[in-house]
Amino acid sequence: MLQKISLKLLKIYQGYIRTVLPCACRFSPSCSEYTKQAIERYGFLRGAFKGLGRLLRCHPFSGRSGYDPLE
Amino acid sequence: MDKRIILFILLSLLILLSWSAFVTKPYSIDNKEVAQQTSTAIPSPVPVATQSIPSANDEAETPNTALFDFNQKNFSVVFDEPKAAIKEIVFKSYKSYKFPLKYGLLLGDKNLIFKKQNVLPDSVTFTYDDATKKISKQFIFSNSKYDMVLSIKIKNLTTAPLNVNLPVFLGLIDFAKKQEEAQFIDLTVATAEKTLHPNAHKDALFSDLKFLGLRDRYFCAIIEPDKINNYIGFVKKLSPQVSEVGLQSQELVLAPNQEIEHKFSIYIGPQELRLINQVKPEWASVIYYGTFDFIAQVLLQLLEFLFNLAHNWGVAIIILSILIYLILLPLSLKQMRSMKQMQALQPHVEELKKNYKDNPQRLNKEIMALYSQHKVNPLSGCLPLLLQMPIFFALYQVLMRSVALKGSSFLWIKDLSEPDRLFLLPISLPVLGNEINILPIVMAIGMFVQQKISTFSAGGTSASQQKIMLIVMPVVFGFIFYRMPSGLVLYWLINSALMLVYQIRLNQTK
Repeated sequence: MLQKISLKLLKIYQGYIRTVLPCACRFSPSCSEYTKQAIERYGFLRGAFKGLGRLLRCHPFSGRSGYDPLE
Repeated sequence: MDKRIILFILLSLLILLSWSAFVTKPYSIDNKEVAQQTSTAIPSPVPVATQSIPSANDEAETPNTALFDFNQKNFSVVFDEPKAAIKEIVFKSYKSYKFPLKYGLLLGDKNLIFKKQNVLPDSVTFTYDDATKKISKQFIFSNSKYDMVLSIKIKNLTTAPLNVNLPVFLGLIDFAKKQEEAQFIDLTVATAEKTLHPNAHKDALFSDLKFLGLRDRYFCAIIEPDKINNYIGFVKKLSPQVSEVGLQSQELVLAPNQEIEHKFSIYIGPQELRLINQVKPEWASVIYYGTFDFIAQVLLQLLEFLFNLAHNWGVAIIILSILIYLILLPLSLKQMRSMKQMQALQPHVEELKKNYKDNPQRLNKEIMALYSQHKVNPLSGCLPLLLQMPIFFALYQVLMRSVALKGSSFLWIKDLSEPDRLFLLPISLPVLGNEINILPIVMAIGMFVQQKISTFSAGGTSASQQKIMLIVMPVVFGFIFYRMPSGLVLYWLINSALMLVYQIRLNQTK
């Protein structure tokens, strides 16, 4: 249930909101895509947690960027 | 910049965010649980049944003739004589704002009909007597401040022991009356262990009560019983739209001719930290700004400090906006430095481009690898943008509830707590109404420009989609902001103007 809703919300975000935000992710796949995959694979709670961890890495001081897939 | 400073800023921001996310949330405990906890906590011989609390508001409205005004320096109290209760309070120093309590501080038995006994400059006394008991209710005001004391005396006139069980109501919550104001109505219940903001739509009891608070958008009423009397707080739902809040004492047995006195400290006034702190700092927890309360409190303090410097709320908001931009600036600066480093890498990129001319996918991968090898990236990332959100939501709460902003002007804006209303149209437009607000329009245009220069063009179908969204988003945001307080729009406008300038500079670096 929560998994489906969160995936739907992420899809809406990717379809409409992301296109106009100046936000551009440092990673590939992007944070939203990463979270989506994580929720699909691990379920809502663990997936969202993994996504949050990724978000916290996504800033200029992390020193990391580029290809960072879900393990 | 020193790395440790940056780390410190980031860590403190993280603490701010996680604090409000993890610490304040559990406060909104479901009322049912609380009620259960409460009933186990109460010693068993004390009967506390919700049914035993009589409703204060079964009766028809009192005719106006029974009302009388009691004037104080800052406010006037409209008393309802037969009920010996406060119908509403009119705040003279705040544009005569009416704070309805509708039988606030009513002694809960509808059969009691009081008489006005004694009206002095700083106190009002009501009395009631019948064959068994004599009750006197005295409101003692402090004149200069917003606090008062309620003293209730009950005397047993019979020769047998007399049971008394009279709840004291703080007020009536009516969600139906003013639709747009109903969202601001909030309860505060402070018990010995914690402070709660329970849902007013559900019945609940709270033992070990310290104080009770009830507030609308700008004003609040707080009541604290004397500690020794051990009162229990209650919320009682009368209808889907109406609830009562009050205090219930344990049942008392009065010996023949015994007289008891219960005292309550009360604050009825604006939700201003300074004023509440003057009376009792503990009560300040009534001022609660939701999920991002902690950030909001910091912003409020900062805003008040800036106001004391600038003596104008508009200027204070602008400085606050610049300050917040500066706090988040290290992130932007880092990005800018990253851009410069990338320019240094440009020859390497050109070389790669030559090598992988016919394999664009491989080229991209190689460029990415080059960037991560040198730890640079053209993009700032998702977190910096996300950091703005909690600050904005917190500031929204602060500005929406800030009574100080009410009636304060700035440039052409007459009232920072309302839309700026540059001029009124003779005709009423659909949705927008007849007022022309210039700030949201400027903001929408600014947003459009910012998007235009900052979005990366995509190919294929998403390009046309992007073009539509480029127009739709500013329009949607324009509508959302159109009716918002101009103070908030001002903050957002200044912040996005600064971002826009930064973005232009960034593009030049490219």
